[in-house]
Amino acid sequence: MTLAPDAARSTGASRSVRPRSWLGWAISTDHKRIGLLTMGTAVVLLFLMGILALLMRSQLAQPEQQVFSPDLYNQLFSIHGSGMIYMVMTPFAIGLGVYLVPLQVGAPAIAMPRTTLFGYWLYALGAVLMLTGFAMPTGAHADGWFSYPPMASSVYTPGNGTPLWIVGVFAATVGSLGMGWAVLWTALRKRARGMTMLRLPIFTWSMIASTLMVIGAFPSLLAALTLLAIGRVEPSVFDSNVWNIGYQHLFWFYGHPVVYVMFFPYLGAVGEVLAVFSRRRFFGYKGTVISLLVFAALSMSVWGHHMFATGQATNDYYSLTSIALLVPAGIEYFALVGTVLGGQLVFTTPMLFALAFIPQFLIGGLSGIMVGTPVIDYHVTDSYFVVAHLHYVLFAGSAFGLFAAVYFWWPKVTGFLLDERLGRVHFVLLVIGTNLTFLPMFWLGQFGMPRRVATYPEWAGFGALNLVSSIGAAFLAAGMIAFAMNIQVSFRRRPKAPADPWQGHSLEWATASPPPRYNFTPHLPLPPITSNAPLLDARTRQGQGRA
Amino acid sequence: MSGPVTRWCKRHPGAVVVGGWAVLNAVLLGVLTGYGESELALLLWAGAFVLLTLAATAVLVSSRRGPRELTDYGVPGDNGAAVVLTAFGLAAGGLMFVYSTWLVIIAAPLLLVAAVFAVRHRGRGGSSR
Ligand code: HEM
Ligand SMILES: [Cu+2]
Repeated sequence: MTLAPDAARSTGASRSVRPRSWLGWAISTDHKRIGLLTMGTAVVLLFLMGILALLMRSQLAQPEQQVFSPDLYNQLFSIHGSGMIYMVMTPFAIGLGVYLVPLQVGAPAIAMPRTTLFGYWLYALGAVLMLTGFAMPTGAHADGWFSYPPMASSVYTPGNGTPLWIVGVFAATVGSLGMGWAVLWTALRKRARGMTMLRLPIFTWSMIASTLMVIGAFPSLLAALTLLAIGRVEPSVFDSNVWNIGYQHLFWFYGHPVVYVMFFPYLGAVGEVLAVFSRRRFFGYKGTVISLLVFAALSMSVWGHHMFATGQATNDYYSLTSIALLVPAGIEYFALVGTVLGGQLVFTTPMLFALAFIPQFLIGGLSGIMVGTPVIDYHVTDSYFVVAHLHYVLFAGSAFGLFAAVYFWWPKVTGFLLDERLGRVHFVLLVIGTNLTFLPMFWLGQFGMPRRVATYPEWAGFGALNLVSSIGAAFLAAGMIAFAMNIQVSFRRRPKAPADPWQGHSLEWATASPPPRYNFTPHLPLPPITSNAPLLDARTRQGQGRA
Repeated sequence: MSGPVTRWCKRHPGAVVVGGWAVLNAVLLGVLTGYGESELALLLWAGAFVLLTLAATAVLVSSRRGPRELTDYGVPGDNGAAVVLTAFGLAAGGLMFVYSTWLVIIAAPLLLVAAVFAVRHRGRGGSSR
């Protein structure tokens, strides 16, 4: 488009602020900077929350250990779980969209850049507030990531940890809402000429589905937090069971869809990685688009499966819709596998993470169908079976998608390459660690180990499996050290990345690495947009690519 | 088939996606009604449906003005200081719930300075989005 040159003229920071200074970063309205700030903050917190997990695994490695008091243990799992969900996986997913969606639709900037920047800062400040709880005399929030009343009321959990958690999570959620709305608007209304809806890359579609859920479901969490805040000022609110169950409805109306917000963008990223490194077009594009939207709508309907055991939800409906999720999920799996089968696979680090995502997420999904069935859920609810299930979804699944995305887009966003050897070490350690850590938890739960216990007696017989799990955690720690080293080496040696190191498909690969302020310029123009893989089309036309 | 409805849908694809998704929600909500769920849960979902309908309407209104929106990048300077200060001010305001309303002495000045920045920014022809 011809707009970029005008834009370039008005660039540059305002008179007083140098664009490359830290202040220039903090107040920049460039979606790429805001996206990087968001993802960078989330990755720092990923390490921090991972350390909390290691502390828990060290206590649980053997029966009857007392490294931490039961009260501190409660704080550890509460902040670990809350941190990973509200401050790591959700913001990273949305931040990836903030960075990539404008590029992928061929726009020079994000819609509502200020709302986006505002969202980032609310998120970052919210994370700080939540963590400040550890400095309080009564400690951090200790009622788990869903913080049910009456337990979380001021009567049973006095002190400032929980109020800080409420304010922090509220701020971060408003921030995610703002960023999500900006991403959605960009995808719908800022598409370049020729970029029709059915030419949007699969990642952008996954962001549309995710941000629809953000708009539909996140306000419900704000309502739940408000209810909890009112109840802490006026504890008699929770004398009535209406508001205790009401809180659960409000919470899970958000709490289930958010799992998909923490999943679809990573699925979309995996889809792009698989297609690029299979050297072919994404398979079943239209079916995947429709199934993403249906999947997202269904995911708004299943929240009551978290309340089976209360006896106060219509279990039939929720288990029916939960099991119905198999249909769109099946279509998406079909598309992923269909993309890979018959392709000419190139086993780069992002491809390895994307390939591992497929079977590992399947374990998470299938165990989800199990707990979505009331008769099974009655047996395993609040046990380690649930901990195993949610970590297969969020860690073995989504976090592997996150790493695939990091390795895939790192050269684009930094202009430097990551080391493939260290990447492989990271990958191998993570696959071993993930399955050693989380697979035994299914049996622990089935044999009766409850979740959220600081320790367990020797006679219960949970010792061996817990030891295996903690050894797995050590592998995870080693893998994450390899990841940190890889980042550090890349920044120190700065091996220069070309504009398109992987033979990418979508528009972000047509511009420089890193892209200029307004993404595309007269020297780096938008290529003709002919499908959801315009760069692949161009290569095919030149007779170099294989479709 | 290329009736008026199809043509309308082709002209406003964004609104169709958001609106269509809202309708999918309404259908599933309709089924839930048949299962006798509590009123509170039904109202909750109905509220989400209203929000989604509003979002679809906003997209439609924008779409009727033209096929695509130009991105609002004519910002003099790359400067979002006003919204950053607002975020800090609101966070300090949120802490009033944790500690005491006295924190207003931190929150209010921050918000005030943010407002000054915003006005100055507008004065230079910047946008507020
Ligand atoms: C993306 C990464 C991760 C996410 C999103 C995540 C999420 C969660 C959530 C939501 C909880 C439940 C907290 C609660 O009960 O309120 C939890 C608990 C826990 N997680 Fe993670 N987690 C992640 C990574 C890990 C890793 C890498 C480990 C092990 C090294 C781990 C070990 C644990 C343990 C031991 C618990 C406590 C179980 C209990 O006492 O009930 N998590 N996690
Ligand atoms: Cu769920």
